[in-house]
Amino acid sequence: MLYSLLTTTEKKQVETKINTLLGSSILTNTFNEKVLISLNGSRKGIFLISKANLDLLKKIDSNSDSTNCRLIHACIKLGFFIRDEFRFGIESLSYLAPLTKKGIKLNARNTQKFIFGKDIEVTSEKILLQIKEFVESEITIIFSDDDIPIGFGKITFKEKKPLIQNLVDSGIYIRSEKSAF
Amino acid sequence: MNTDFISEEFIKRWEHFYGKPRTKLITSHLRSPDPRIITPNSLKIRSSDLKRQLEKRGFKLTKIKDLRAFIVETEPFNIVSTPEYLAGFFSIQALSSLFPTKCLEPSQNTIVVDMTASPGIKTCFLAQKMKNNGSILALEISKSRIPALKANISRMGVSNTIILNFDATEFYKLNIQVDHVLLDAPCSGTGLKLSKNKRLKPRILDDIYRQAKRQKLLLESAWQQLKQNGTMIYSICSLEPEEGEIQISNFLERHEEDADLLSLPISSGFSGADTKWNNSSHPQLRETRRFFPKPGVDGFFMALVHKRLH
Repeated sequence: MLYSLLTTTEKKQVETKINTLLGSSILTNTFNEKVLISLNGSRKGIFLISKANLDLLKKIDSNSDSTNCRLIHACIKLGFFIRDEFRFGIESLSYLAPLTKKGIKLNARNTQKFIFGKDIEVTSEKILLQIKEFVESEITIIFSDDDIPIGFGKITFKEKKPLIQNLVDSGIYIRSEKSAF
Repeated sequence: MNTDFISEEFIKRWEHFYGKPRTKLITSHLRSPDPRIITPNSLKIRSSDLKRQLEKRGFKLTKIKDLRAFIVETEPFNIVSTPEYLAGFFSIQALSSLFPTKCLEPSQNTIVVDMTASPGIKTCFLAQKMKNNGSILALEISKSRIPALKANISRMGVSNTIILNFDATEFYKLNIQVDHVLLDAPCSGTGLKLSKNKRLKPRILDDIYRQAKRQKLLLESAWQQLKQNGTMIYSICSLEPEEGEIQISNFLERHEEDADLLSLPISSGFSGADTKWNNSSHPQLRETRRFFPKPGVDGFFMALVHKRLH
């Protein structure tokens, strides 16, 4: 079998994380038209696929026994499970970013810092105002000052100092193309 | 660049196929550097907006006539480190990479197979044409070339593609009928500019014959799964007729009952029928295009094959 469907518990966890990230159920409401599947591997990749493409995948699956066919990617990669916990992958950024109601916008200097893989210590008033919307450990999409999505960050308040922890950023495409994918 | 870099063996062959004056031009253009060419990603941004955003950062872009692409005239820092590149607003490639997908017209609900997909630039162009609808099967045999393919697909926001690590010569075994085939076949690469191709000297003629054999297998595997009335674009970045004109001429002879060449919707280049090789070429070969290296363009060959309705 090249893929498997998600269990109810896995599906629920993915949906909850997506709804929290987006601040709405705009995406998970469409999950009756699309299907969540997982590809087996060291990181259990989670993909969102249309029913038509799932039918195609079923056909490939049924005929792949006599070949060395390996399924690598199926339409939209949302993230992966590590130790039973779902995490967003950089591959989902461009799909999720246009759907989100929340997010943090950085200035040019911090954008550069973030896409170099660094955490952002929040000192500017502009970002502090945005951070007020978030609770401790909340994950959100980070944007550049001209609204380009650049990665996922986790909001923490270490000793009451707000910090945007870099979970993954688009700089990974040039930093470590081979290891990241 | 050292002029001896291109072996005498290849120069003699090109003189035979294309004549001495043309060969002189070929070797001179192979040695010349290429400008940086970028193509906006229509899934994410309008050309005019991309130009404005990059020019705000100090880049200077010039639009290329008749193509949705720009030459980067001024690059104050490496363009790949811009948020626009990282967010998949554009791709970087030679102009020749734009032509094969320009020739396919997949409607939004069709199934297209990209037989040798990595690094995925052409797969991304296909997805743009299909507006992320329908299905693209991106096949790649080499495990080491998969990360680049995955990275390009996700960076560019492509969401209709299934990637299989798979030998495309066995594609027929999956029993999937497709509407269109993109076969940008592995080749000897003798049309590539020397700045990105260090292979001309060590390459030997056997390599051309080896690649031609593999191309034949790929063509047959794809053809078997192409639906009636479907189209297949075949392209190679090689100057060797064994991989281009002769390969397609032989293919047409093998598939006389159901294969026709279609005119390519591209005005530049030369007819493949002009290439001089020993055997008489198939009459339909006039529909193929042979491109010689020039600034921004590698040497390559293309043919668009149509499967007749019965």
